Amino acid sequence: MARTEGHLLWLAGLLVAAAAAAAESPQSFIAQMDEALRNRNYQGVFVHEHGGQSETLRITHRVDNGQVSERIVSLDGSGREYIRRGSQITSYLPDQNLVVVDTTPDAGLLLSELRVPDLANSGQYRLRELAATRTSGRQARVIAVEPLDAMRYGYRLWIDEVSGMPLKTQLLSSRGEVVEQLIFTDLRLPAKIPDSELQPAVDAQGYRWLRRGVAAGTAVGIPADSAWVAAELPPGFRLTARSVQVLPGTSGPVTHLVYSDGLASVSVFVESAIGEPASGGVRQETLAVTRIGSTSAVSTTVQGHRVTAIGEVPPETVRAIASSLRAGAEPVGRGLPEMGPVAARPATGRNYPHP
Amino acid sequence: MSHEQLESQLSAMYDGELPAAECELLSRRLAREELLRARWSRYAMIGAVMRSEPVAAVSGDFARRVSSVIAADAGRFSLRRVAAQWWKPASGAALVAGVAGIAILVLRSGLPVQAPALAAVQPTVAAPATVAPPLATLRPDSGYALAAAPSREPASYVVPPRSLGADVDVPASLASFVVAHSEYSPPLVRRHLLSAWIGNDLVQTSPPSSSVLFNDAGAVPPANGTN
Amino acid sequence: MAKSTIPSGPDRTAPTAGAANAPPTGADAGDLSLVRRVQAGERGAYDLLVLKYQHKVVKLVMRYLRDVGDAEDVAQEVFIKAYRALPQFRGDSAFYTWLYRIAINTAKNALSARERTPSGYELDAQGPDEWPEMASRLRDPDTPEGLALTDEIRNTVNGAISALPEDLRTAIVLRELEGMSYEEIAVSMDCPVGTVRSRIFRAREAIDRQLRKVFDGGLGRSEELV
Repeated sequence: MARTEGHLLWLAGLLVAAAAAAAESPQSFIAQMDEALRNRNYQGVFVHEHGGQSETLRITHRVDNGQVSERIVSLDGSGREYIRRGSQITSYLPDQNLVVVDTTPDAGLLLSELRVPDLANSGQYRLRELAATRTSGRQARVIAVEPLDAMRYGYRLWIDEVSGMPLKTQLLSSRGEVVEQLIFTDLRLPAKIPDSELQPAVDAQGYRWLRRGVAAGTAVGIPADSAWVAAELPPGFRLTARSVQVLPGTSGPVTHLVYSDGLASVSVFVESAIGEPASGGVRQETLAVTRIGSTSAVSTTVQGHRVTAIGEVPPETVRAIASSLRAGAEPVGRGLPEMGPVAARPATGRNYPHP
Repeated sequence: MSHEQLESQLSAMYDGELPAAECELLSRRLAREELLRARWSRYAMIGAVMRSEPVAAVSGDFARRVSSVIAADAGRFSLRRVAAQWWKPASGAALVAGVAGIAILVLRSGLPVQAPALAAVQPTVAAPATVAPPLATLRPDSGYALAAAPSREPASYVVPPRSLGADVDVPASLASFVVAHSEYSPPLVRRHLLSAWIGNDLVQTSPPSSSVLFNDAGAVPPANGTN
Repeated sequence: MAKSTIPSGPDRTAPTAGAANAPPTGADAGDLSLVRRVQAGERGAYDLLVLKYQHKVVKLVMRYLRDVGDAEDVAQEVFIKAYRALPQFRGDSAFYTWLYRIAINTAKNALSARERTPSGYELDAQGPDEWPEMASRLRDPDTPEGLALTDEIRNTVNGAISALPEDLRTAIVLRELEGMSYEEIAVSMDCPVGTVRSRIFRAREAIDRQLRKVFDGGLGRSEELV
């Protein structure tokens, strides 16, 4: 008995030592950040810059007996608000006289978090701690999430040393351009947040209320011989979800594939045959990519089917993935075998690599 | 009132600590006295320097120029006009998008499209506890014309301005896909995609290719009736 | 104003200054009351907001447009846009935070229009207020005269503050740096509110006396750079 106890103590000591050593790693700082974003009460104003535009938003985040409530209010005069309670998001769009109610598949926060285990497993990013600096009048650690190639974006995070909150976040291209940026200009962590702070300020009288229809997203059986895959994927991308849906604006069911490298996700939509001749002779490089902020979207025709790829990745990546779609093919080259239908975003709950 | 008392009032009003009645009197003096306004401006500079905020030297008549433009505007300008200036649907199409998975209503050239996946329901969510405070009724010569009886009239909201970029005509299918993908986007992006679609906010990079893309001039294929 | 107020120390149960739902105090209160007055129709009140932020906005615009005249034209546009959008401002954020966003977007648009290149992905590293530690870095190619003037202004103000008697200096520091209301300062300095108001006024008076000298007497000159 004593020996077992001694052994356990020794093991515990080792874990503590490991934790202490690991506590200073970039991974642990990001884990701290995720924890702060998820579990602390906070209220602040941040500027979200993307694609040449700038938006100012106020966020309120409260955790009360395990129930998460969040509210984001646009401060640009549109009066738009997004309120999340548990897994329901209600979007108020007073400039459209519209309210949209939806449920999220997971308890995704309104503010991004980077999931450390995914990062660690993907092998496509290197985490590095840069020189600490002061930002917003606070001492901040600077963590870089650097992609190993130009097929994905990287991050730079200024994490407040004391609270773990990300004071500033940048999404960067491999050339170091800032694709997207988020800076807190005001941030408080109150012990209590009253309910009134999480109520909408919009009077939705007479508005149109829309809710996700039961029908949307229903899986439809697909004939086995027309299974689509991306034949050649950029390194690290794996299939993480597949479904067939009926979506408005299309005729017939649409195959929706999701590829992820652990951090970034690309959706590929393959529509039913549209009867057009195959667009042979179009070089991949000439496909024009549409960009909305950090999102790139491209559409092409493969074997008579319209293929659209959309993701928060550089334009070349969606081009490459869309162009590589094949029907009934086995993935070759650098693509990896299809995984089971795992959601691209892991379940909530603490997933930290350290005890 | 001595000049010093006036200046003391100015200092208090600068901090928002002067009672309203005195503010009104002081404002009238300020409107007449250039030197008092100059002092106010120097108070601002003192604060900025103390906080190490970057400031630039500015021409003495800068504020005057701004107020003369505003005065010229008065009477011609109204809230409704603000909304009209910024809201400009592309090719008569209005896109309304929801968060991930919600179907999209598209009106193109006045043609309504079936959108069966959308369930227009009676509000099931409790009405918000707070109501947006009505905007104050304004005097007619103030440059703002606001509909009377603000308690019944909803506040006017401004549609966020579109970013620079081509006026891209967007097919309904792309809108559906963007929304379906947004479920896998980072949450902040998801929220932005929602806003972007409503503002029809797209930037097209070059080179454009003729073989593909988002310039369908054809009719929207009828949305599938049922699932 | 737009300052981070994160409580120091890891104890997240400690209460923070500024309850989430309280009306704005300190720095925001003055601006908000001016905004309300403009919304109520008092155009003169907007003039005061312009006078308060013209230096910051022009400086901000100069990050994009180097020519001073150009920058002032665009800054003018910023204030006019803000005035027109003011009916929609509901006080969710500080006025300057809202104005800052308008300024950035207007400046970027103006830059693209002039250069005919998309504004793309500019590195906008700052929020509405430059962080204090960056103040010493010269970020824009001001004219030499302009640079010299702002340096002189800075030195004058800082010199005047350090020469203040302690009670005056404390009062104005609490007001301008900590954004505290008169009430809060009265509690902090253990004196009546009237005394706070008087101390702040006298502190400003002393500093302004020196500042007016920089503007060469500061009385009656039409080219006075105020």
